[in-house]
Amino acid sequence: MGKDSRKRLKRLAQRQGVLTLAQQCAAMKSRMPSWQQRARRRDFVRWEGWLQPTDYSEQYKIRIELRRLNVPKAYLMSHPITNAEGSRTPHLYKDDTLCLYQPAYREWLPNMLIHETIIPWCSLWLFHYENWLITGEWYGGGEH
Amino acid sequence: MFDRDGLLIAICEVIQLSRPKYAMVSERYKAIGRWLGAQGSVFENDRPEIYPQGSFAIQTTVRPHGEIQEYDLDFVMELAGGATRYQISPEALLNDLESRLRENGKYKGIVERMNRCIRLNYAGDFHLDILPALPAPNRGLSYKIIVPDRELHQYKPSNPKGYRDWFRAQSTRVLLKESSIEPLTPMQAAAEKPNLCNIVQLAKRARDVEFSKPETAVRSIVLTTLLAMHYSSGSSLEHELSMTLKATNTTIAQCRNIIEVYNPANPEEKLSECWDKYPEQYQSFTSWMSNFCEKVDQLQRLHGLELAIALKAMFGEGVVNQAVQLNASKVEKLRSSGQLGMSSRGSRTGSLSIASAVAPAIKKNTFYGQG
Repeated sequence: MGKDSRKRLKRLAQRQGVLTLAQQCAAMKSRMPSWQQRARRRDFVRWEGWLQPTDYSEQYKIRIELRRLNVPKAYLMSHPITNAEGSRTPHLYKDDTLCLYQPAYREWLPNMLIHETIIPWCSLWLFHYENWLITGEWYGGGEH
Repeated sequence: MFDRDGLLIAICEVIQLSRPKYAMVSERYKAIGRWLGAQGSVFENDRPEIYPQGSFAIQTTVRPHGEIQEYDLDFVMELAGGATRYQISPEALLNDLESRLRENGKYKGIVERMNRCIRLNYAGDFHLDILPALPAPNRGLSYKIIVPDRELHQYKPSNPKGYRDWFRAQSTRVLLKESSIEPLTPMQAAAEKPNLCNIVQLAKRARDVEFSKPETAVRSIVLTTLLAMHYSSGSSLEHELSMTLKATNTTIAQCRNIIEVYNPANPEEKLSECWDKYPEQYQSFTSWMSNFCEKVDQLQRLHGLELAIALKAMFGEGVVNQAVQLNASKVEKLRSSGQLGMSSRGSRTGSLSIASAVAPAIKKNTFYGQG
């Protein structure tokens, strides 16, 4: 892609309110101070942090990767995504990332902050994941 | 639902008499009272008064374990007017109670004569056991009554209202402010009750899971009294449950012989007399208590799935699964009404809570995925 095209796309993105990686990183540093930025390249960032949905829940380690012009991906790092019987947790993509929203409903858009969307949705997903491990049922609703 | 006691409280909600059933029972026993005192009744001039005793009175109901899923609820019919004609014949009193109930088409088909009370069977839901009583002679300002003994030859003293007041005092004595005892509101959710009520419910449930033959297990009144005597406040329900069990176990361990438990509201009544008769039941009780205490202590170090597995062993798999489902449905209700938040500061990150300034509401999402 030529330098001019990139500049045009950048201006277009800015007009649409698309957040840059730098903006997402700044917000994460400020609002999720216990999370760590593990990798940073020009068009890629990876964060990791712990979430504990309730006081009686486990703490779970989540990795979030965001590639420029791409959708964020969330991974469960600390625990298996299958239960003792070997069943896969509901609401995972084939690449084992967490299915946190329905793309068709535009629930996440690039003008949204990760810490206001992906992270709380991870916490909620983890709450239901834990309940699924305990009971075998997913109580968080959703679609396939 | 989000704090450390979240699962324990939900377990109590699952095992206790539900709010609709509680309301149904309240309505029914009051209607029975009106029938017993109505014109044309044999008790018309005796001022019969029906009131709950036992677990219904002190809000420690626990669903029955095993095949029969009906709650066992106890009531007293006290003839406040004295009814001297029954004073030498408890059997006559019981007979008249039975016939008066049978005179009503609503009750006729569900009346059952028990040893010393009359049972009304609301099959599949609960049964109400009504024990007839007279005011105790020379009782002064107390609530003491006399009730038929097992053989129906004579009366023996009892004091269910006194016990209820004692229990309430035990559950609230740790309040710092001086105040008269607040009466329990008619039906409280598990989270709103004094913790002592929940502690008794959990212990009774654990006992039911452990002892497949209920007749060999510790009587509920004995267990309730012991726990209430040893109750002290702590930082959470989980902590208080642990401390109360430890204190009870210490007392048991310090007693060289079988401990004696008397009714605090009726000191001549030895609640624990069956242990004198069957000392092997006392042995089973003490070893279960010690084990239960240890397991509860260990709970405090567990989280998530491990915690749930330990709770299932104690309280039954079905009950814990229902408790988890109950909490999940409460969270989902908050979520769908935009009131579920997540806080990102403080000692825990990612903690769900009711939305507030420090826990902004979570934006709407639909879990998706190809499975």
